[in-house]
Amino acid sequence: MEVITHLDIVSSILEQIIYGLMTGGIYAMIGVGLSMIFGVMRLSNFAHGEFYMLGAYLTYVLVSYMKFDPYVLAPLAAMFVGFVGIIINKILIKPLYEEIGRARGTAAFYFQDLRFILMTVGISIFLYDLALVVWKPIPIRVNTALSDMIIRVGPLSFGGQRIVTLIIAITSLITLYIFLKKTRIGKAIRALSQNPSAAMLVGVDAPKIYDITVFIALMLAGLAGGIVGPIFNLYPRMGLDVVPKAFVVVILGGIGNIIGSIYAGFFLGVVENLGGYFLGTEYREVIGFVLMILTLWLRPQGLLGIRR
Amino acid sequence: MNKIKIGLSKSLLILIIAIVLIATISGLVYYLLTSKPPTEEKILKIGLIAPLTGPLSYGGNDMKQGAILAVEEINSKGGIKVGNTYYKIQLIIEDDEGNPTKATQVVQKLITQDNVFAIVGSYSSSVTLAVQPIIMENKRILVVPVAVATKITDAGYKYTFRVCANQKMQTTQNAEFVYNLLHPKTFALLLENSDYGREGGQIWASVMMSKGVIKVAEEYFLIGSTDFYSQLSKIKAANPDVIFVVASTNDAANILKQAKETGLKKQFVMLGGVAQDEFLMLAGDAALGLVHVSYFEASSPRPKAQEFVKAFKEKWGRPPAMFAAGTYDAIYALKYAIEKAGKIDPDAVAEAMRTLNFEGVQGRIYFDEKGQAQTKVLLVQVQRCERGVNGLCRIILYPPEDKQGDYIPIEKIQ
Repeated sequence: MEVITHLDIVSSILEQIIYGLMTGGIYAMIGVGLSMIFGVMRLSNFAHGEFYMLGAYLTYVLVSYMKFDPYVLAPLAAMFVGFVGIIINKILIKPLYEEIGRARGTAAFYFQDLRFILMTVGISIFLYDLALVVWKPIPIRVNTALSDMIIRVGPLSFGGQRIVTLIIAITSLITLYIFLKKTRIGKAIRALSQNPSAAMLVGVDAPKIYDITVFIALMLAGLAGGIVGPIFNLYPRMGLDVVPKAFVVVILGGIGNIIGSIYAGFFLGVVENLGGYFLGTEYREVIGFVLMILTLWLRPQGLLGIRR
Repeated sequence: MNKIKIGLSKSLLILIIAIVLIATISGLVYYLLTSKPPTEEKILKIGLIAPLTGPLSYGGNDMKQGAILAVEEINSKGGIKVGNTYYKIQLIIEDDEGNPTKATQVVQKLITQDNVFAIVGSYSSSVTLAVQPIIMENKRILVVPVAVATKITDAGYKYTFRVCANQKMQTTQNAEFVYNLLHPKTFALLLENSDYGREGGQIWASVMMSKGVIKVAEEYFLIGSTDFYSQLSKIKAANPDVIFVVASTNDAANILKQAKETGLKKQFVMLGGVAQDEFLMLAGDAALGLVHVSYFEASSPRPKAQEFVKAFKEKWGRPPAMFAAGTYDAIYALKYAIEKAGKIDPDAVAEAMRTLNFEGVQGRIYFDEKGQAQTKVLLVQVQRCERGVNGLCRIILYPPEDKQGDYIPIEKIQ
């Protein structure tokens, strides 16, 4: 294969933007779920990354039993992660909501964040340790038919898996978008996210919507894990490594603004790459967090949000 | 009445003291007489600290198995000979979990309770640096078999020795080898953003730049970040002849896979966690052509190495990794130094160690003034072969006495 010749600056930047969109798709898939759970349930899910990790490992388990391509089996694993989420929601999170309904005065005030935060942090630690015990800390490689596929367009070159990942990310996010905009349940989810008391007043069944929200959010995280696993290899820390970025996405998109976080995911991917290109890659990981702090400071409603 | 009583008890006291004195003296005489050994065999205690549990346990257990093999070999041949006395080695193994706090506890136990003469360890540099001062204050010999931080021996402690090459040595040897092999005009750095990555990059770059090679890119990444497209794209735009990478196992595998995807087909050179089969598992064919440093390869044709590999396989049923080789050499270094010193005394043994020169399984080992072994590291290339992980093997290119094959240019390797 002929060696790629020197890239000019335009194609370099173009390449960075395309690579950024590819990473951004994953950020968006994880971030949008986190944003949904936050908006609908007023719950910061610190265990969100662990469900991404779980999706990746379950895909690997399915692949080793069923001998199909991970890209075929990832949605199956993702559904499973979603159901695990519903079970966890019913057993561990729901009692907290029932208790908060009964709490009065300052108890209600203090109770609100702390118990929920500790619960999700606990779930995160539990799932991480579980993965360490079951799958060991040594990284695992998942093979796919696409592993060796490389697509070249002029001076640009991409792995086939990356393109498939981008397509899956865009498809699932568009589906989610239509679901939220057009269906009754989707509208109920947005209503709960925008104004919980008004939504419940007009008859939205909050506990049921909570279950659906958790299912969709964790399924997306699990799907992201399943399709990323073959690219980056699996290791138990993968969820912990990605979850800070998901929080950045939630804040850039506007806390509780579900549609905003979809855009924010892609935006973060592109900005990170362009920032790395112009400022030097040692600052690449910082850029998202600087943006997050600036957003919280200057535009707490999010980059695209409207002040309520 | 009172006076008489005092007088009585006084003489009683004298009597008691006399009895005690006589008993002690006779006991001492008896001990001295009997302790003239009928058999010339004694025990010498050596401690081993290694991460036997937790994420680093793979390396830690390799160390443990190497140490046990060395001790059993020495003891089966009688032990360490000091004058006319034979000392059997008693190996006391402690788990440091790769954690400096835990390591401090077990080292204190080894010194105060077990009263070991020497300590071998450990795997990670941070653990070794944490326990080093305690070991030095208590005048025990420390032999470092695996940890590479340059600082460990650079501090110039009298009782510290290291049997493997340090970071500075291996990076310098790596850079010089690569320069002589390829004569590149330009290079790029891709480094993990840590002490280890930055120090490695700096040393490698300074060797290259002193030879007039130009640095065209210097990129960093966070340990555990998975996406390297952005950095690789910048390097591709800078178009270097050779790319030097410092990365841990999984990061290194991802970098090579993504380099292939982004069309960056250049000679990669590495340092770090790539000298293990696990890396070849993860990287697959993307690793083809990579040149990197290794301390020990079980496939080395050198007789001493083959002898060790054979004994290790017989004992443990698997080939040794480089950690076992280092630890095995560490135990033997202690044996030779004690025999050379002729007495069990830390000062004499430390002196003897400095003048030691022996053939270890990693190659010829002798120490400089600071206790750093002057060893040659191995430089290997990942090439295709039939029996190997994913059909890949590490082929030794350098030094000549270990050499297994020739370098294959990156354009030609398939």
